[in-house]
Amino acid sequence: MDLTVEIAEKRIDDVLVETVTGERDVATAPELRERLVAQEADGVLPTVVDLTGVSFIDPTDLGILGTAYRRQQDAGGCLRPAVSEPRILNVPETTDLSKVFSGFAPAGEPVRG
Amino acid sequence: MSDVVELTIPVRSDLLVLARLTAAALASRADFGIEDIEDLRLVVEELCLSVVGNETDGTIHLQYTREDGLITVGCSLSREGGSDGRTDGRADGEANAMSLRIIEALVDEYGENMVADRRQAWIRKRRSKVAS
Repeated sequence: MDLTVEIAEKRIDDVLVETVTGERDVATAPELRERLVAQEADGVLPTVVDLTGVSFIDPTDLGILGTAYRRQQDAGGCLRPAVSEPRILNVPETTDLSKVFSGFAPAGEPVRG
Repeated sequence: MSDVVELTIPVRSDLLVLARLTAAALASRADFGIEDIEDLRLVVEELCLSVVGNETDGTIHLQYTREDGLITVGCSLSREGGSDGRTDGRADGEANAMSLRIIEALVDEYGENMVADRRQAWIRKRRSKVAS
């Protein structure tokens, strides 16, 4: 089990891709929050948060994504999480957090989703 | 035949991974499927968070019991130098409601009792009939 936790950022065309990997829980959530807030401060870009490399995620991170999603909407931008594993999708569905997002970007080609 | 495993960790968010790892290891030994194991990992984390609440110090006590196709996890909190040994770290508000919602959605049984003068929250999860 890989416990390495990383967030990497890159731009593809005009889309910002935040790639999140590892075990995401209350201990790692602040970094994601800070990263998203800093990214918004730099300007609104369509953003994909690629969760396909996440091995565990709890509602804390999903709540952060939901809040960032609403902020992006208010600013005229958009944010979409990209997921592939059903077990990762199960978390937002259990908590109804999935209703916050308008949709998930398809895994594998998250930017073009 | 049953296995009982006890885990004691300080109240630190970066150590909750140990609670999840232990749950996953025992569930795997009980032939739980991957979805059941992932559910259990999430539930154990939420169980800890619901018990710890807003406490920032103290010790989390976890007791895992593995029986045939059944995992039971009990979780309680003791504070260092607590005034009367009683603790009720339940957080108020939305976060705790979220934890309980997840727990109740993913386990077969959930309850609370008193163990050694501490409130203990516990869950039971049975192995799904068709392991995925």
